[in-house]
Amino acid sequence: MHPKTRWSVLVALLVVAALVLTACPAQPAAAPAQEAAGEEAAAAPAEEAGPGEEPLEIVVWAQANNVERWRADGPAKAAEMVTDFNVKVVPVNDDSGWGEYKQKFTLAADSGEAPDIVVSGHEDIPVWANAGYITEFDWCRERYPEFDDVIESLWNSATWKGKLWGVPQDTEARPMFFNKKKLAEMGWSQEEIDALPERIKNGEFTLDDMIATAKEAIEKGVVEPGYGYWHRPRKGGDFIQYYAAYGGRLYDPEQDKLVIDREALENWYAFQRRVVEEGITPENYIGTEWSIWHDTVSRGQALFWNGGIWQWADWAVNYVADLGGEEYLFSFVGYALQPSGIPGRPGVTLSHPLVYMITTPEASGKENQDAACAVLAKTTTPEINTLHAVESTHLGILKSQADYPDYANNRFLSDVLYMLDYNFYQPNHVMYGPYFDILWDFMVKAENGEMSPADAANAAIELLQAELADAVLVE
Amino acid sequence: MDEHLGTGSRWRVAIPLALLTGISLPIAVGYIWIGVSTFSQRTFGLVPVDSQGNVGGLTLDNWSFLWEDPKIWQVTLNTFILAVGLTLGVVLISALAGYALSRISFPGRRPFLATTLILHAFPSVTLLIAIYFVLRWLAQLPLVGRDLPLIGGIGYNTLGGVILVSVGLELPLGIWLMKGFFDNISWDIERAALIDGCSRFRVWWQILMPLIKPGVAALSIFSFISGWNSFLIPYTFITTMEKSTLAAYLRSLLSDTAPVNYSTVAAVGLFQLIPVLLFFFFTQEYLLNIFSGGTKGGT
Repeated sequence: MHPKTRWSVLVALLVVAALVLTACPAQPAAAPAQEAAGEEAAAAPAEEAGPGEEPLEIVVWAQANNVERWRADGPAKAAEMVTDFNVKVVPVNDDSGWGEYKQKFTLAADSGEAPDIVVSGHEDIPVWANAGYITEFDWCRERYPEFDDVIESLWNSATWKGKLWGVPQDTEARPMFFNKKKLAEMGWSQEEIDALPERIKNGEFTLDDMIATAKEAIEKGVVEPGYGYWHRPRKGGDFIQYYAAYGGRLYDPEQDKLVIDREALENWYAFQRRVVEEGITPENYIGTEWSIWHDTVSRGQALFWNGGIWQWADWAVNYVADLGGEEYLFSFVGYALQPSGIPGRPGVTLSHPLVYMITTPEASGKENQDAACAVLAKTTTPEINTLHAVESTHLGILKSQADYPDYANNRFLSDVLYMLDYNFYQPNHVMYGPYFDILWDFMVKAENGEMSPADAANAAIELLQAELADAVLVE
Repeated sequence: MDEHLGTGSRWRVAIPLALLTGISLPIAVGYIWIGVSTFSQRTFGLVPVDSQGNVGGLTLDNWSFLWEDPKIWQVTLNTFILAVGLTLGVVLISALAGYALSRISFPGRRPFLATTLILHAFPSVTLLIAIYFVLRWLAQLPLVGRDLPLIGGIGYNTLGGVILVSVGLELPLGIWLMKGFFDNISWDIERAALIDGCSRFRVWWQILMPLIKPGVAALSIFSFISGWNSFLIPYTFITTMEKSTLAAYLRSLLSDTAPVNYSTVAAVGLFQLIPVLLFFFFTQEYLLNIFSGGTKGGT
């Protein structure tokens, strides 16, 4: 090699080595324990900007479709009311799907590029807090009186290991919807139709009765075969309602362990298979496109279907607007709790509050936690939250909303409010994700007939024990 | 007799043509539908209809993203930078590596070639997590990590990082392609140049590169199209739409929960397709050279 070339190579190597070495100190220190994160944020000096200074930019990420845009737009509007900081909120409403959204947040947080505030399901708290992505919230709650208005029980969903990690953004119920016109065609009287929600609430109309009614509707030609009962077409926590309907419990708070009840699991899987075998749900139904599902149920082709109250606004605006929107829906759609699987036991519904979480300085690369807290305080008001609740038909999270005119005058929200008395949450447990994945995988096998319900339940329990070991109790 | 032969030869042409037309028809119909639906409120088959279902309903609303959404131009520019960066990177490195692998004997040459081929077999989705850790580390490098003009840097959440990864994933194909072109060039020209005192680099740049221009053109076209359409890497490693690309913008229109306006999706898709079609139209003759190799001849 020519001496000049050798020198060039050597210099180049040195430059590369220098770059590599200087990069090392720039690496952020390992995320401190989440216990410390909140204190740090609380102790951070308030960054009040004087007049004329550039406002502090707070980025808010939310997973939201067009009727749920207030999830991120709410904080943007609330920022105008913040007086102790000069802030501007950059709202980012993402509608690419929950899986992608959470993956994107995880990668960004791990690189120190997370937004200042993130909205997600409460079940993400254990994993994200454990990873040091989000700060504790107790310090923020104590700082602003606006948070005292939040319905007490909802704080439970944002609690993990005895500490708060976020403030509820919305909550909802997952009713069983029914087609009143089709029931009338079957010969049900108006009184019988009107009494159905009450009967479900009292445990007088169970999942078995629902199957029998749907079957009868098909036999009488009121609905097409396969259109008697449409459950959620894709993966989601909704299916846990059937497990709960058969008496299964998910979590033991005393031992901080997940629980699986063998009998309830087998009954749940048997139910999933039965709806297909009885012909009230189509074969190979799981995986149906959401747009087909929404179109079918909102245009009255199914007799019974399970959904969420937020879908009401979605149907009215995006699916049946040309038929009259909400008025059209009121003309034929009824709603009740999810029927129990056990006679005499009240129906149930799953609530899945979303929560606003403040990211740590390590995750966001910024020390905006105080300003983010101020923005969330002004977001947690009836004025802002009702915008989201009414436009997207989600239940409110504040005590004062019951008397807030815009909220109280909403017929649908008022009708379903009682369901919160019969609701349950998914547990905040680090291993809940894998736990649910296993239950889901075997549920699909049972419904599609690849395994018998009993075999699927046994296999699911074996896998749960193998993968989650001590984290799960089998009953 | 002649007439009979004439009929036979006409059939010999007509039958394959009919078959090809039949096979191509669904694709052609797809393209026609995209074109029609972008200017229609709704479509019934290939016929534009209005909201009442009557024939008509032509509109420019589906193209309104061009003047109503300022993000589209930023996203288009990002996509262009990605495609050009990818093309430059792949062509330059592949041409250098292809030359070395074709002409120079060095230890580990064959294992390197074999490994390159194996790397090409990996679908990029399986490498996402590993790539993420590399990009996250690169983002912490001073100067180049985050603060480069135009491409942002070479780390996570920068256009440069996406270019770097995309180049890495495209290289195996590029290197093998370039090696093939260099293999087909006679030693004589190169040997004569070396005897005349040319350095290896000068031989590569001044003698051989002009001879494999068709190969460079073909690889450039492939790389540009790959960069222009790339989705998975920019979608995964860029967090905000302002830094993202057209394919990710298109994905953002395909809502998971709300109904999708497929006419707008088709319009954005067509908008994304136009540069590729133009590019292909003017360069297709070079693409064909990829199958015939470089200059033939020599001993």
